Amino acid sequence: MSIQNDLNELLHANIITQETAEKIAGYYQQKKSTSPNKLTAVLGILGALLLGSGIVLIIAHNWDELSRITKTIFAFLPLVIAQLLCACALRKQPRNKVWDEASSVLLFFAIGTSISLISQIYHVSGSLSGFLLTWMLLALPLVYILSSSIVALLIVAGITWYACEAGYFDRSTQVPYAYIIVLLLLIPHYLRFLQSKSNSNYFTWLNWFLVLSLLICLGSFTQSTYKIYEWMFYMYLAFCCLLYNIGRLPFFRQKSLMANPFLVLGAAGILFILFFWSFQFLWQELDNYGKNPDIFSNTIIYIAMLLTLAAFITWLKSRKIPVSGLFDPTGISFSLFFLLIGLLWQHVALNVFMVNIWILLISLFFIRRGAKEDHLGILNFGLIIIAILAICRFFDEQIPFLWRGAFFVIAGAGFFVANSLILRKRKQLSTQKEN
Amino acid sequence: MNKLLWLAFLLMIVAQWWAPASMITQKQRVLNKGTRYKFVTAPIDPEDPFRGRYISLNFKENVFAAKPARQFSYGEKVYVSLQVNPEGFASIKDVSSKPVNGNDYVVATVSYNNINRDSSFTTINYPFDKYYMDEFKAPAAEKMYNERRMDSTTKTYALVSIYKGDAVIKDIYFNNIPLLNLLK
Repeated sequence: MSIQNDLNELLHANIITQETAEKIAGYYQQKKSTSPNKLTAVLGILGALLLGSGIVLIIAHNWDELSRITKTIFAFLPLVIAQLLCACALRKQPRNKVWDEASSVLLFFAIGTSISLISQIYHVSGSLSGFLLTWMLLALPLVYILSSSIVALLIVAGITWYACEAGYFDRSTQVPYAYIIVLLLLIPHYLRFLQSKSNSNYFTWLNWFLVLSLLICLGSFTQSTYKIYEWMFYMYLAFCCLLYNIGRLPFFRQKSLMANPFLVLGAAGILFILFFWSFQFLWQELDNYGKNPDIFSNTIIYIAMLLTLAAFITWLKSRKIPVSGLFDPTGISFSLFFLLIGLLWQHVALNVFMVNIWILLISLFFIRRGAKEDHLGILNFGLIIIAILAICRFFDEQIPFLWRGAFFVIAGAGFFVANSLILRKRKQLSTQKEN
Repeated sequence: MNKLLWLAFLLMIVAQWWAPASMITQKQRVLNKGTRYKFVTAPIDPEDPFRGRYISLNFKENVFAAKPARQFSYGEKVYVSLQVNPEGFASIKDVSSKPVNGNDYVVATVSYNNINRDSSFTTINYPFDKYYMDEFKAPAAEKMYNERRMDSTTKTYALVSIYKGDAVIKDIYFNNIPLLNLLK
């Protein structure tokens, strides 16, 4: 309706001809009839998700009054129905996205229902991780056969759970290698969206799911963490730097913050780890207990080195186009940390000082960038980093009260001065334009 | 392309049927052909988000003493040969890291191995430690067990079918009465 109003206005103003107006109206009419209604799609998928998970929960009640045969029939019934629905969806020409997604989601849950019912009937003791992995592998073809995006998201969530169960929670903690295999199997699906539908909402969702999943599961690939906690932090820092640098590559840089989980989670992770190590106690502990001499027998060091290499390469690539001509230290934070825990780990005071200075450098980068780009959000992000640093140091008994007080006053004044300077600059620009 | 898609779809359906069907045939074979052993047990009730509530079973007969000492590592797969003791309950005949002959053995994992000078004690985890139950009955079963635990005359045991390494729990009994009958 609004397009028709706009077209009428443009016609009256003699900007477009009657013919062009009809062509434009025709184009939008056709687009509307071929693309599925978004609301129908969302409701269809949501319905399938609720129905599927509802069936899983009803099955989990465990109806022990039913005979073994009846239960076995019930185990296969949802599977058969969902498979028939998928076959119908596959037969539809042209393919209907809502049908494809809804039937795939139903089949996804039907697979889980069927295996869990058989497990109940025969009291199969198998671990939850094994159950989840079988389920995800059996559902994976749906991502390609019916091009189901929602099933891909469910699989990412499922294998994350699997990796946590196998790598963190199981009694005999194992390395969940199958997690990597399933992720590799999802790569063609990811690439398809990266190449042709990188602006879609779904691609944003997929990125968030993948980045969060990798952040959660990375730690499960290390063996014993005895006396190697500093390398665990280093591994995560290198990974967060890698994410941050990917987020700064030209492809993702142009996206909004919400559509760039690499940048958001990477920056959050880097700062979190640096703030943690800006305190003295971890360095003190490292100095007291010494380092694990057998570090090279643990996979953690090799994963950390691989991530360092990847983070370094992406940093070099992202550096080619500097942000507002400024040097961004955030994505290279791993180099400082590597130097500190690798060589200078016994110099507690120096290490604490260096980490604090590095955080200050990062905050100054964001403040300067915000000022240069006239962006209050970025500028205040830099100021918030300084404020958090000030709060962290508030509890540091080793720093004299006077210094701590001065730091707080400077940080507080920074907020007022920087914000008012930018606002004044904006006002000046707008008055210049008016004149 | 369309034919290929349908072929992939059919293969997927076969795999989705094969997984539960193979579980059924495997477990049904154990129930039909296996020897039944009574394992003295102590249940507690946790839950699984998908498979529902179950009672977790700790078996009393899970330690094997060997002389001379045997070396097993944590999590190692072992073959546990079984026998019936004079009271009629299952007991461990032997634990070996190599496959054994016969039908009456179960594949388990080592949870602890303690070696003294010339003897060793090996604690094992059986592959049948979950008994799935109605979500409302499982806590009741746990409560019943706790109430009767003090009474030394009560014997709780799991009737387990054992066949060539695999095992299926048939039922849980309180003094020879099936647990589900007691909870009705």
